[in-house]
Amino acid sequence: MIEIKNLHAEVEGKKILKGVNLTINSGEVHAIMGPNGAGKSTLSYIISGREGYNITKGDILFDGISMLDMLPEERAAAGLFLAFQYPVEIAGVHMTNFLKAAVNSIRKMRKEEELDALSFLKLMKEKVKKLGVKEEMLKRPLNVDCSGGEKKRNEILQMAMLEPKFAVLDETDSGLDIDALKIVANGVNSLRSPERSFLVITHYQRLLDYIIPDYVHVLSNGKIVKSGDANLAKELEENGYAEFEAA
Amino acid sequence: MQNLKQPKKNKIFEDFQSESIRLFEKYGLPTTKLERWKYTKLPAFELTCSSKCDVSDKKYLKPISDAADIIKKQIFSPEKQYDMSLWDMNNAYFTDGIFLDIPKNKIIDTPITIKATETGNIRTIIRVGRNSNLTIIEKNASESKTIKNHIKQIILEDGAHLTHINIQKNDNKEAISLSTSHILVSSNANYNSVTINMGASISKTQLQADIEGENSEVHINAINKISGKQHADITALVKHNKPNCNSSQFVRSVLDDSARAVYQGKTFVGRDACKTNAKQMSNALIISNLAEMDNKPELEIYNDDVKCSHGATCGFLDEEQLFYLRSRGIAQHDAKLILIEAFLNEIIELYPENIIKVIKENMGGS
Ligand SMILES: Nc1ncnc2c1ncn2[C@@H]1O[C@H](COP(=O)(O)OP(=O)(O)O)[C@@H](O)[C@H]1O
Ligand SMILES: [Mg+2]
Repeated sequence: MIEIKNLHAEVEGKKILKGVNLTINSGEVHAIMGPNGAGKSTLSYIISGREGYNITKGDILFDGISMLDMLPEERAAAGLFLAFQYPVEIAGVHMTNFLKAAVNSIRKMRKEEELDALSFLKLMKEKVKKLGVKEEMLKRPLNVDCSGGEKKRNEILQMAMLEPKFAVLDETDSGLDIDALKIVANGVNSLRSPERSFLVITHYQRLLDYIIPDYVHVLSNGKIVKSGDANLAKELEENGYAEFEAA
Repeated sequence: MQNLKQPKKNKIFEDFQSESIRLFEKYGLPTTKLERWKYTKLPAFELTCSSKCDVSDKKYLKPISDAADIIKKQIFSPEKQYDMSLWDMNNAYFTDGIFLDIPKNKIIDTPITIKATETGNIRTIIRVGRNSNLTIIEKNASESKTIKNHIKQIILEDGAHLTHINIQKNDNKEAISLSTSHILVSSNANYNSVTINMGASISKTQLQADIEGENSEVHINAINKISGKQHADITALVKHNKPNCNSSQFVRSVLDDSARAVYQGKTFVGRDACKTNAKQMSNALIISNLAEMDNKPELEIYNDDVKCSHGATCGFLDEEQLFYLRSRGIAQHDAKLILIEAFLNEIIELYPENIIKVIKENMGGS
């Protein structure tokens, strides 16, 4: 489904990704762990098409097609979703209106029929209930006056609404208490299917107790330096990243 | 020096008309040398006719001659804080106008619409009686290159509430729209206005509110949403003369192409006006590098026991917000529109739901 091939990227002349290789097949959940500053968020932003990165080498294929020339909105329509490490606050935009615009924009790009107000609301209420998100959140301006946990739950709600084929979760667990963590994990697990894959970026092993990954990779200094199964996360929890940081 | 064609005299106002003619002949149209006109240059024009607004609900209309006292009192106010030459021109050619006189204790749920569509010197007097409450929707619309010099005199008696929505959208893109309001606010009264500038080539909205009673509120909000070579100027003065009053001036501007907006706002707090709470804020969103915003918020305070703040910001669309929306599948163009709407929503959402609806309907899709 997604193939990252020898990806090199720079920001303002600074080399950040130095040859990332990663293949994620349909239905798989991969986790990327690594020290702060390793380039995890940079990788997730590049996958979702944020501007400001100079990709000097390599490619990212989504279902066999290069994504590098696609706009962020085109990538979303193709089925990509990024849950932001730091969700953005937008005063004056209401969650409900925003979600409706997003859902219908994607449907339009896919040449599907747009949802009318009623069917949209029905769908949204369904998801809200399933995820255990407070309905009151829907009336608020996007991420404004939300706690860290509420923002992350908003991201998961958005993911549930947009039903992506491939979702990247960038440290969705950081700053969450155990209940919020369970909501997030539950959101991911309920979407797990043979057609859908996930890349879960995390700093701690804790989340991976709830979202059991098929593969775990360590990203350090712009490269994947070790890969393994779910047990690798446990090892990292015990030994830390010192071994890799020195590299 | 400008010589006026001999205007048609209005019998009731003869004395001040001749004085106004003399003054206008002396000073002419306002120039950028005046502090209040520093950022707005008017082209030379002559405006020798009068026109009047059309009012949706005629029940409370009275002949303009009944407002003689109001007209005289405000014109001969010794403190001429605003530039008077537009008043003088208006007086000189003033033949008829609207006098909307709301009696006391009337709660009027349906907004009253007043429409200004024709070239001319326009005069509108609004008096809201004790404990009455109403909403006025003022619509400026014109199909051709009109010039309007609209003078408004508004009086709120004790406990009166007036929500005044001034929509300046459907004015021809070559029109000149000049609006000058003087608002007199008594105790426990509330004047809440929002001016929406979207039309006309040049629009200048001057507002002066004199708070003459305790526990009152004045809100002067404005939206400038302009493009091309449009120029929109909001110049406001709120004078706190009595204790325990609140005022705010919130202006948001969205400026595209080589549009230019101006906000000159002043809060004056007199010696007696303790416990004044006054805020001023102007925020501009610059869509094009050629657009310009001139901000000049000012405070003049003669009492220590007050809370006053003022500020101004200018910025471009936020790239982070734009990317966030696009990453959710919203196309760039739509994402920009959403952010612009959100920026303006922060003014519009200060109002109750029924008013929000009216504002949004009138602003339309731009
Ligand atoms: N916009 C930027 N400008 C300059 N340096 C950046 C920028 N974004 C990220 N970096 C740098 O790139 C490195 C990787 O950052 P990031 O991808 O956020 O790491 P991680 O998510 O793994 O903690 C860091 O050293 C960071 O300072
Ligand atoms: Mg990060």
